[in-house]
Amino acid sequence: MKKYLVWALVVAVAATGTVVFAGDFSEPAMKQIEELKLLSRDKKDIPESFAGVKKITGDELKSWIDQKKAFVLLDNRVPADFEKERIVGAKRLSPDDMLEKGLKAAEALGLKKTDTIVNYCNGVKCWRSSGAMVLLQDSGYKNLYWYRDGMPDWIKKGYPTAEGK
Amino acid sequence: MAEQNNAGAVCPVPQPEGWSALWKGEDWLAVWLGFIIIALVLVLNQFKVVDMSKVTPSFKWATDGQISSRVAGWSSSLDALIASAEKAGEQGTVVRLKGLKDALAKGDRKEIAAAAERVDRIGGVPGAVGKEIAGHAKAVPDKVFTGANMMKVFQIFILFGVVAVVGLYFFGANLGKFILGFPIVFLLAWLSRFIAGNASPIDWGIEYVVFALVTGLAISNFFTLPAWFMEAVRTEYYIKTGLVILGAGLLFFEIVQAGFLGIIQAVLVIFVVWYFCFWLCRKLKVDDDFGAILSSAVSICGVSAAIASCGAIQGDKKKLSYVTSLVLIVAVPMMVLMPWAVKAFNIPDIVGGAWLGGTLDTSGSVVAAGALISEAAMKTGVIVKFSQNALMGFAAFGLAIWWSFKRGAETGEKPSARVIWDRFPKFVLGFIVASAFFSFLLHIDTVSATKSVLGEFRTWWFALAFVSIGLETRFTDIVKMEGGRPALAFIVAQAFNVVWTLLLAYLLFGGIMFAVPDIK
Repeated sequence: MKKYLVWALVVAVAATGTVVFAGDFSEPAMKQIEELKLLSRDKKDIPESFAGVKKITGDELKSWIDQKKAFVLLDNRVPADFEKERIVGAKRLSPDDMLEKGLKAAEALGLKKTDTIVNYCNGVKCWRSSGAMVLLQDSGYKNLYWYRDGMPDWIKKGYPTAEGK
Repeated sequence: MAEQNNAGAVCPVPQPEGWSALWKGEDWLAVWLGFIIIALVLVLNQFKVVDMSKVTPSFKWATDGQISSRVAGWSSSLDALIASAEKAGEQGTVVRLKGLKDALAKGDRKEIAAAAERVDRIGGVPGAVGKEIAGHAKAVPDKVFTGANMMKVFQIFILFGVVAVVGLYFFGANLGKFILGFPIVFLLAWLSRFIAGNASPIDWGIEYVVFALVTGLAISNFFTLPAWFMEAVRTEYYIKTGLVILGAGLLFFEIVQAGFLGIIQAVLVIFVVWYFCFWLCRKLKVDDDFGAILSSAVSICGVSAAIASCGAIQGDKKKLSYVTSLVLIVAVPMMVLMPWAVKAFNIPDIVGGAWLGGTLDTSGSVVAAGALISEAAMKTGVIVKFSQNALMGFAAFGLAIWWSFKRGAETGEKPSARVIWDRFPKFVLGFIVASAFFSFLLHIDTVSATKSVLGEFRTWWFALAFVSIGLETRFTDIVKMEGGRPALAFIVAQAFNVVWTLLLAYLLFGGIMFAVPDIK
């Protein structure tokens, strides 16, 4: 029986150190990510605003798209959500990707630090858009916009969406 | 479980537990079993051996007939939603809701499912309706029986079988008989979950709990079950393992919050109800020994309290076995009626849970009844029940002192404070450790990744336990002894317990004397 105890202990230690590519990001940013995840776990609303991040509404975003304004639209959700339905023209970059692969995940999309970037996910209880912005801001991206109401709001308004990979 | 029918034999004084209890006692084994399963899930998740989102088998199914019988109702709720979306000027919502209505009119399940999922993504109230319709439309009966789905069930069966056998090997059970019987108990558990997965029970809010109990009861009351089969009917073993795993799903502060109130409630319940039942027994001319066992069973926690108090007063074993079946039988109607009452009278879930935890006599019935209300009610019920169980040792100690004075120290257990620890339900420690581990030590990503799998495993252990409760309960046992007078005393005292505990639960958990515990 002692064996099991030892085994359980080994597991306990192994399980606590989850693989996180923390190297690219600062301590405070990582802490903020944890707080966002906790909010999402407890099904609470994500804060209304973040320092250094501008907010954008669905209608404004629609007119940006219609005017062909130069900006990058990031869908910060997991692949399954992205493939089911997304805002037309969005590229996918989730905080999970960045935590796993580091900044490379953002660079692979050709994101430049000077780009105007709009972030969205599944609305006010989804931590991923704010999480992505925390990491991007931490890495020196300055021109960040947040579509807080995200996908559900876009759908309600009946604006165009895309499906598939 | 108590040994049956040793007429004339005297209940054993608890032997001081040595270290061997760590691998031979049922409570400790349940702790190790629970830990092994939790550890296994964590390891497989950590090294990504198994995709944890694909472990849970599906039980949901609806026939084409059930779908078409629901179309009218769904369409009219969609109409209401369309009207309010038009008012709010949500163009996209209106288009999707109309699309779903058209799909319902055409009646093709695939189309309905696709349209309903598009509605689901709107979120809010329409989203919830879309989700419900999509769930039913996608649940083609064949899906339950696909190779992949059956394989998932089979893997859980093998895992549980192996783990249970390992535990029972240390326990010293007859493994051959267990291996013969276990597949049948598991099959019955599967059957009850399968029936509960149908669209109609889901709409009526009847959970697998009811079907597991009913299946077990039907079999045990109409057939004589062979002894080899009963080796696999182990309510306590299954429920305790499930409860240790449940600990992983509870935040530690939830336990502390509800546990504190639970102990206050338990002390008040135990004193008042114990004395009421004992007084009633004397009125009904039930002898004091019998009265003491009955009173402990009503007021504290059924079977284990009856065993503890029987040991403390060195009572007759036959009386003990009678009380044991009484406890099990009375629990059956209570665990169906009380949740119904909670819902019918709009009693808050937390108060309802505390009420169940304070009155139902076995942990299994608390879980079963709580699950019929809500997850929060079940968790509250379990914590309150545990607070009460933890006090059992103190009660046995007090009783032993009283009895040794009463008998003029001629016989009886020499009261020793050690009984407090010996009678402490050790699996509660496993439950608390699991909760502390998941609340404080594990990374939040690990907790959320393993949450649903652990929930699924816990449900399987509970299903096995509920089937076993049914299989262990025989209604004919109740009328046989002393013209039913002890049974009458027990039932009247239980009724008193139900009313008194509801009052306490309201005062303590209803936000009147303390803040309502925050349990999800």
